Amino acid sequence: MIFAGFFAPYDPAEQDRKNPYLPPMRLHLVDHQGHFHARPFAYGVKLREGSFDQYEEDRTETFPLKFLVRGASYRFLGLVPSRLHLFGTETDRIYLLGSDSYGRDQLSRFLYGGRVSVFAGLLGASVTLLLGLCVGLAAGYYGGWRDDLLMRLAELFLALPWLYLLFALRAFLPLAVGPLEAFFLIIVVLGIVGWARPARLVRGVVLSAKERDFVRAARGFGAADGYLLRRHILPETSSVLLTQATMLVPQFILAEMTLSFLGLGVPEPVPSWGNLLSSLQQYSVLVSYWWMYLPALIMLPFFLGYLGLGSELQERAEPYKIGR
Amino acid sequence: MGAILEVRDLRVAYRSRGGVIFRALDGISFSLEPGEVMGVLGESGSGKSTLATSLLRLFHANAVDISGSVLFQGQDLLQAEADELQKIRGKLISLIFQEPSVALHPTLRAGRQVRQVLAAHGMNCRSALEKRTREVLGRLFFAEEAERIARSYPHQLSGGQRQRVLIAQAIACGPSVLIADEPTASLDPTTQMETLGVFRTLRKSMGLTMIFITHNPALLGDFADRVLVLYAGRVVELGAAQDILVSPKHPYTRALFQSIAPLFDTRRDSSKKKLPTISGDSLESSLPVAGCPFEPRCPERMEICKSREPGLVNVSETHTVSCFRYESP
Repeated sequence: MIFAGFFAPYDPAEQDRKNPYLPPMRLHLVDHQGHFHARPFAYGVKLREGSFDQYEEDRTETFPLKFLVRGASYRFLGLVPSRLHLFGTETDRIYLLGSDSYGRDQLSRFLYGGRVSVFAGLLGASVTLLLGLCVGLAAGYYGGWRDDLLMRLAELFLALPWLYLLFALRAFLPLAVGPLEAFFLIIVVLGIVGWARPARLVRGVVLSAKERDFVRAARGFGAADGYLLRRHILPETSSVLLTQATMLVPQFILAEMTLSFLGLGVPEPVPSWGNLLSSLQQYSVLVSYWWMYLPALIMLPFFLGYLGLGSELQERAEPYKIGR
Repeated sequence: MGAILEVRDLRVAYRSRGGVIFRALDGISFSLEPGEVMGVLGESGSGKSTLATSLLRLFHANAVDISGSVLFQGQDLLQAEADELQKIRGKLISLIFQEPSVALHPTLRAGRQVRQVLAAHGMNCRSALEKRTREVLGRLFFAEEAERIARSYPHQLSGGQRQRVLIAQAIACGPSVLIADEPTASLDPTTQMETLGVFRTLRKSMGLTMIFITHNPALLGDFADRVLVLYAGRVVELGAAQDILVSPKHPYTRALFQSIAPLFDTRRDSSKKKLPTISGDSLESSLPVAGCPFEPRCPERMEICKSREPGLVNVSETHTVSCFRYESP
C-alpha cells in the first residue's frame, strides 16, 4: 500500500470519459489468429453497435503489456518524485479491474484507496490502544477512587452507540473543513471513543501483574512507581495489546469503509475502499457491472491475512508459553 | 539501648472474595534492639509472611483494617509518606521474599537486578554501580562464579543461587535491618545450611539487625537471640532463644517442638511410635469466638480458656507467654 504509486498503473483521479464502466480487460498470450506472443497483450475496446455501455474487444488494436514504464507522476514513499510504474502500456490505457463511471482505473483506485483505509485503521487503532493503555495502567496500578472513576467512565463509553455518534459528529463538523482534515478528525475521534475496551483489559492484566511476587519484591527494595510500571508491568500487557491491535485495525478499516460507503468519510475524488464500494449503492451498478464487486472480494483475503498475522504474532509474543 | 524497630499492636486483616474477614495479624507487639536477631516461629497461616511484608507496608490489595504502628528509628512506617517509605525500603530495611524462584524478575539478568536496587537509591554513576554490584555479589559467591551469575537470567540459576542473588539485592545498599521470610524453606538441607551460614557471616560483618522467619525451630538454635512464636496472628510466646528452645512454656510451642522428627531416635521402639501431631488446624473458621485461640487444640486446656483470651504473662524478665497456666492467681 505504501508503494501504491509504483504498483498502480495510473493516477487514481485521472478520468477517461470515453470509457466509463469498462469491464476488466483480458490479457492474452495467443492472438485470434493463433500466434503465440511472449509478451502478454490486451486488445483495444470499442462500443458494441447500438449500445452505450456494452464493450467488445477490438481485435485490430493490441496493447502489449510493458513493465517498468513511465506514466503519471507520483512521489515514491511520499518523498522521491518518480514516474516509474510496475506495468502499463505505451499507447492506450489498460484496465485490469475495469473502470468506474468516470472511466477511472479501478485497480489504481483500489491500491490508492487501500492506502487511505489501512492508514485510517492503523491510526485509529494506535490512538485507541495508546489511550486504553494509559487509562488501564493508571486505573489498575493506582486503584482506589481513580480506578472507580476511570472504569465508570469506560462503561459509559462502551454504552455509546458509535455509529450514531459518528453521524452526529459529521453533521456537527462544518463542511468547510478540508476533506482530509475532516477525515483525520473522525478517525481520531473514533480512536478516542474506542479506548474503553482495551483499557478494561489492560487494567485486568495490571491488577494481577502488580501482585506478582517479583513486583512486590522490587517494591520492597524501594523501586519507584515509574520504574515498576515500565519494567515490570508494561511487558505483561504486551500480549493483550497485540490481541487488541489485531482486532482493532480491521475494525477501524471497516469503520472507515462504513462511513465512506455512506458518504460521510473520505470525500471524492480521494479514493478509499469505502468510496469504491459506495458506487454499489446504485441498483444499476449492482446488476450490470459485476467488476465493481472486485474490490470487496480482494479485501476478504486481506482481512483474513491480517487476522492470521495477528494470531501468529500473539503466539510468538506470549511470554509464558513454553515450547510449541 | 533504644529499639531500632518497634511494632505496636499491629493488626492486618484480609477480605476474601466472599467478603469474609480473615485476621492475619491480631495485635502484634515487639521491639528489636540494634544488632539483634529475632527468630519468628509459626506454622502455615499463622501470619508470618504478613508480618514480614507489613513491616514495609507491602500489603496485598485485599488487606483491610490495618492498624497499629511500625516504628523505625522513631518514624511510623505505616503513616509515612510514600516517597519517604520508598527511600527506606531496600536501603535501611530490606526484605527477602519467601520464594526465590518468583521474587526475581524473570527477564532481567541477575547482576542488573542487583544494580537496579542501587540505582533506585540514588547511585547513578555507571562505574560505581558496576563496582558495587561486583563487590556485593563477591560477598555471596566465589569470585570466579560471581561474574557468571551476574550475567545469568534467574531461570539459569539454582534455588540456592537465586536465594543469594536476592540476599545480594537486600544487602546492596547496606541496610540496618534485614527481614528474611522463610529464606530457607524451598532449599534442600545442605543449601539451607549454606544459606544460614551466609546470614551468620553477614550478621557479623555488617552488624545487621535481623528478623528471621521460619517454621523450623532447629534453624534458630545457635543463630537467633530471641524467639517470637506466632499463632493465629497473635504472639503466644516471646523470649530469649535459649529459654524458649530449651524450656518452652506455651502448650502450643511445646506441641510444635514435639512434632518435629528427631534425626536419630535413641528409643528402641521408635519405628512403631507415631510422631505426635497437633490435631485440628489454625484456620480462622475453627477459632473460638472468645477465649484463647489455641484452646480447641490445646492438650492442657482449662475452663477459663474458653471464656476469655489470656494476656501476656512474664515468666521471667526476658520471657513472656500468653497462657493462663502461668498467670499468678
